[in-house]
Amino acid sequence: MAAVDCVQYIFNQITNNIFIICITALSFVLLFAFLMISLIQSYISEPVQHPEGASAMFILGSGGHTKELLTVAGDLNFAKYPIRTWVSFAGDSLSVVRAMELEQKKTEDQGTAYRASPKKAESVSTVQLPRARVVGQSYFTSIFTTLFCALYCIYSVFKVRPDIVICNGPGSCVPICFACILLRSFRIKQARMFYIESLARVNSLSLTGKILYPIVDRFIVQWPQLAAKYENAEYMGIVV
Amino acid sequence: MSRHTLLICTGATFPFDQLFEVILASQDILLFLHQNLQITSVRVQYGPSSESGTKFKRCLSNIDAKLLKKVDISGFGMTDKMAAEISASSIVISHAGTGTILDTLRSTPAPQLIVIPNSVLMHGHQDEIAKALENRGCLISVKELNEKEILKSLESLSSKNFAPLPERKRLADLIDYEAGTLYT
Repeated sequence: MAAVDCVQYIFNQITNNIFIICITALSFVLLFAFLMISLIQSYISEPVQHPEGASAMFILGSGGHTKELLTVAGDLNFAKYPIRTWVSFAGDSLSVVRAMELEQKKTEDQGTAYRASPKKAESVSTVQLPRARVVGQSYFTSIFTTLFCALYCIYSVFKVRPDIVICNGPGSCVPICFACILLRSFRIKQARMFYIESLARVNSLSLTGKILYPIVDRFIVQWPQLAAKYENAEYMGIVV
Repeated sequence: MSRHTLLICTGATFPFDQLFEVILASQDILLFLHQNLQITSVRVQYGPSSESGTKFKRCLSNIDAKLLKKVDISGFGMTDKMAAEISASSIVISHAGTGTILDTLRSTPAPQLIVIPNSVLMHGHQDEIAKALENRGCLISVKELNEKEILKSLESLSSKNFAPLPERKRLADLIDYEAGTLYT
């Protein structure tokens, strides 16, 4: 008897509130559709012009990754990127040192020409993100550290709001790119994602490369074998 | 060539200490370096940990004193002046890390480069780049880390013509386009 009453009660509740439930569901569907449409739009539209200079975020992996990224970054005219954020990961202090050496060298090289474009106030900053998993850490605790790392990445990207993110692996740039996708779908910034596969990858993409291949705006590879396998990968020769 | 230095690079992120252990343990290699390749000085970059430093000292103490008079052997852990170390060398024997390979091949004049992939690392992707660049004639890749293979690669040095790494392409315009700063 009690069970029947209970079912009856729930049924009444649903029929009485069906309107509210429908509205809620519909708004969720609409919000999701809106996010998806603005995300797709951000991919098919031309990049937003930044005549006053853009904000660039450089993701420094470690060791060889850092070296490759700094070589590419060294080609840029920093006057066009007055806001520069150098991202590194816990336990790797050398990458930031190398990045600051590049900053120093750029200031010396470009000298007066560099200072002569005060379109936007210059701001150079460094961000150090926690690692998702330290070597030897147990898989159970790594669930929480990964979650923490992902949230921290989203927080940092939302704080910086870069116009372009330049990365070349390792795995730590995956949550950063996902955070960029959030920025784009909420129409906060059209954060473009520029990925360069490491020179070390000759015949197959890295796991990071495979994950980011469908979501980045530009995917550069350094060996022709990879461009033949992946039609959206661009090969122009060795870039580092 | 006026430079008579051999540089051994083990890398910093995942140091490949076995590399210098095998070379320094072999009297044949050291003698060959001295007699056939006119090497008078060997520089060893070992891993940044104190453990690596101890390994190096142990290797050094096992080398014949007479040999040490002919070939000066010294080492260091971490350095900011890797580029200078490389350009002062005539031959570099290194792990197949992208960083060291690029530093060596982009150095002018470029030392002759022998790489030995660290097979325990990253599912053998050091192997991939070593083979690919060997096919282009930029370096010699040694498949297995042992005395015989290293001697074989050193013997082939004098007859080999090394090809330079192709000049690098610049991505600045592409990045500027994506960032919307190409015309600023």
